Amino acid sequence: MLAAYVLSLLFTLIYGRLAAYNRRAEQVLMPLLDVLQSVPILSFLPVVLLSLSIILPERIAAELASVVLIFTSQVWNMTFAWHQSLTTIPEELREASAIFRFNGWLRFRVLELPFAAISLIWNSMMSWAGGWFFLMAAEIFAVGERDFRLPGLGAYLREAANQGDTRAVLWGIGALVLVIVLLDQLVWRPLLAWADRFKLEMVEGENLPSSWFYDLLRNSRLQKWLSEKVWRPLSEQIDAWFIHPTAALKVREEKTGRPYLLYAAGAAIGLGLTYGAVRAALMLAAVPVSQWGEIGLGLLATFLRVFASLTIALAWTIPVGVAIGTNPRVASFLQPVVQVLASVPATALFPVFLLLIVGLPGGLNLAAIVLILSPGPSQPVGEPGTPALLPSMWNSAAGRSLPPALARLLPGLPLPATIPSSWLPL
Amino acid sequence: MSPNDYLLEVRHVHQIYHSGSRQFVALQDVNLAVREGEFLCLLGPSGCGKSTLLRIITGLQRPTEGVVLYRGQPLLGVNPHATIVFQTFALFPWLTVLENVEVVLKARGIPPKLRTARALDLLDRVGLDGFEFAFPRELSGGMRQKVGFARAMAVEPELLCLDEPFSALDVLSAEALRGELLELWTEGKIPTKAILMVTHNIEEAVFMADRIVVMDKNPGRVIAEVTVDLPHPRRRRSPEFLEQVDRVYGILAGQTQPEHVELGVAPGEPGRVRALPPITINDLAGLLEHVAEMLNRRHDIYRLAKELHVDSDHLLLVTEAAELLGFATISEGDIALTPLGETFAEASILARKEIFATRIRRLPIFRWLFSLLKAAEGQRLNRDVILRALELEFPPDEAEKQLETIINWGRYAELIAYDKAANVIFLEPPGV
Repeated sequence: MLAAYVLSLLFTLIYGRLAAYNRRAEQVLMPLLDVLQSVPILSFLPVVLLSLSIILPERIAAELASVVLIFTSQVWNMTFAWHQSLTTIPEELREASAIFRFNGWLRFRVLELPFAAISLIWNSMMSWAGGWFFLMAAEIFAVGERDFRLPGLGAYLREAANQGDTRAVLWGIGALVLVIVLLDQLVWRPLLAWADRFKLEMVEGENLPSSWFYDLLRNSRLQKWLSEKVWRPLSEQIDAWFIHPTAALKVREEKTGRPYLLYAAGAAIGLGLTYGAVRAALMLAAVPVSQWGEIGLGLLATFLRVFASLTIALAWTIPVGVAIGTNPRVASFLQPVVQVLASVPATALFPVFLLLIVGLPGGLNLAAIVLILSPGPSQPVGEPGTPALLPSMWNSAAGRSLPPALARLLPGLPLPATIPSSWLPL
Repeated sequence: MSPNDYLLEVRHVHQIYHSGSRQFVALQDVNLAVREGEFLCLLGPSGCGKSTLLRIITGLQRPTEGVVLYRGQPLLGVNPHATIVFQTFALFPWLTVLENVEVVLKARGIPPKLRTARALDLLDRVGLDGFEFAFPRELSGGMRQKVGFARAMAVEPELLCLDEPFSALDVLSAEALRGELLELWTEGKIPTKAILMVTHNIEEAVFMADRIVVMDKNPGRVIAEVTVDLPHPRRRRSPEFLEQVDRVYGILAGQTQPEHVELGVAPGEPGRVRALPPITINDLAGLLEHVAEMLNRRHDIYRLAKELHVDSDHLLLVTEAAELLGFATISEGDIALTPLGETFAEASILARKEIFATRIRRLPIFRWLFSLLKAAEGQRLNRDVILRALELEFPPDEAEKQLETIINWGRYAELIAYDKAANVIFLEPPGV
């Protein structure tokens, strides 16, 4: 998980920066991101795994594939958020950075990263939640006749569910919840409390995010010592590497050349996509006409299920979200609960639900709806319409400084985004 | 003085924006030069391109045509010897006051100890001693701008540029800061060789500058250069000071032209389309009533600013409107009411509306609008249609402002009505 997250972060920072600062690159990269975002994750799987296992021994290939899989579930919303941040930096701050001759590194460290910090942290939290969701899918997969299994919580849960061992499943879920809560308390809350200083507003907020762990750290002597002796000199050193004293005084010419490398890369990707499209078309053409009818019905059924679950989800989350958003005490109690709930993977719960519900009329269909319902929206796509996270986004939009969240909350629901992601469990 | 003694030269700079198929001239053939030891002011109404010119001078923007020379060398990017103090401070909210000043020194590669020492020294000089570890959100506007000053001066620039630095401050803070800046400058406490300040406030320009470059809009261009050789400290009430202010007002207010020139042409016709000054009828009435009380119904424009408690910028817009509508004439910095203007000032509310209606019917832009509406079905048109037609003549934001002014004036005159919900403009009463 951690490896995937680090990979996601690196990818985000580089990709987003490229797209934000180079107009031509942006025209290619952003639509590409949109497409990639909508591709269900498990379809990446066979390609990644097989290509990796050609070059590396099986064990490592499987681990790497798992990491890449989780990466693909985490990265897109973060990249969008980062790109959005970069393009909404206030003009005056940009001009100030330019006139005072900040080089790329300093601008990144002093302007871009702090400005995007809050957004990146929230999106990272959502990414992790999504990552947990795919943990199980990522740790066990069967491709063709080969069966890959990795040691991990995901695999444990899947096995336990398959064997009908409810106690084991509960232990598994318990362990998962514990990890999530620990992460929340020891990592995310403190990060949010620290990141409060990156608000753009020039007034003190009323409901500042607080974290007992953060307060603990702030006052600890160990932290102070580390900060003085290790962190500060280190960051000075890094800055010094990147900044040359005389460079600031030389007049820098602006580059106006054409990015040939980018054109080449774009062409390569374009070719790859065309090839894929052609193969897909050929495959579809091979399907007999009678089957098309079945496919059509199937699609309709899926659509109805997704629609039903979305409606139900909205019906309960909007009132709850409003209640939470307008009542801070309720919010502070419910928010961690909601976050934990969002992270519990549906695929872990599915067998349990199945056993319970299959007896009722409606059977499999109902079970499918419930399945979509619980985590369906927890595929993080960086948009605050996700019902389980609606309360937290509403809270943050109401009380804090997430302008993108506020702006996108009202117009709404990421219908296009959740539908593809909700197809996944099906 | 030979050209080699100029610190900064701007030669034949043009800035042209393209919007759709039209092009709009933001700056037209600007030429100016700054010498060492000079405090130069760029003065002009909003929209005359002075901020754009500042960005071109500092290298933040490239001009469409023309060249900027710094010490004889053409500028190829951001000018490393110039810094800017911004109107809205542009401080990094997540850095403390000290860090905000230090970071620009860090960008120059200055080592940590020296950095801190210099930053502290500058903060001391601007009077922010004790606030080093405060965050910008804890400071008042005046103090934030002081940080802006400290930051801009920390790198010891040769050319210090100020982009309306006092506009966002309250009157008292602005006054205090002006005095402090002048003190630092005249007593040589800062190693800056020249200061370039952009402002729309005439009194401020005369108070601080050695030379004022006066600009006008539509299109943005330099219309005059005024030398102010009063000694510092300058007294705002002294006759010499007031004489200079009067002179500058005279230049900016211009001279009333014969009617056909004043009115301009309708949108779509060849020639100059006169933009309506975006003011309300209340402002206009207030001005006319005030001048009506003066001897001979005439008055110095510069005095009106103080008496009516308005910005020079806004005042000039109102006088322009009075001129356009035929209620007053302007010459040499004085405004004089016409007989029609007197009548308007003394008339009742209804009578005023009638007079106003008669006058705006003569404006080409209203004639054009009325003909459009008469030809339309039901004598009504969607607002967006008219907006789009205006966008052929004006840049997009300007077109929006013009339409708002047209609607305001038309409504006051009871000649047109606007249904906001339906987004429709129609003639009223029908058949007029």
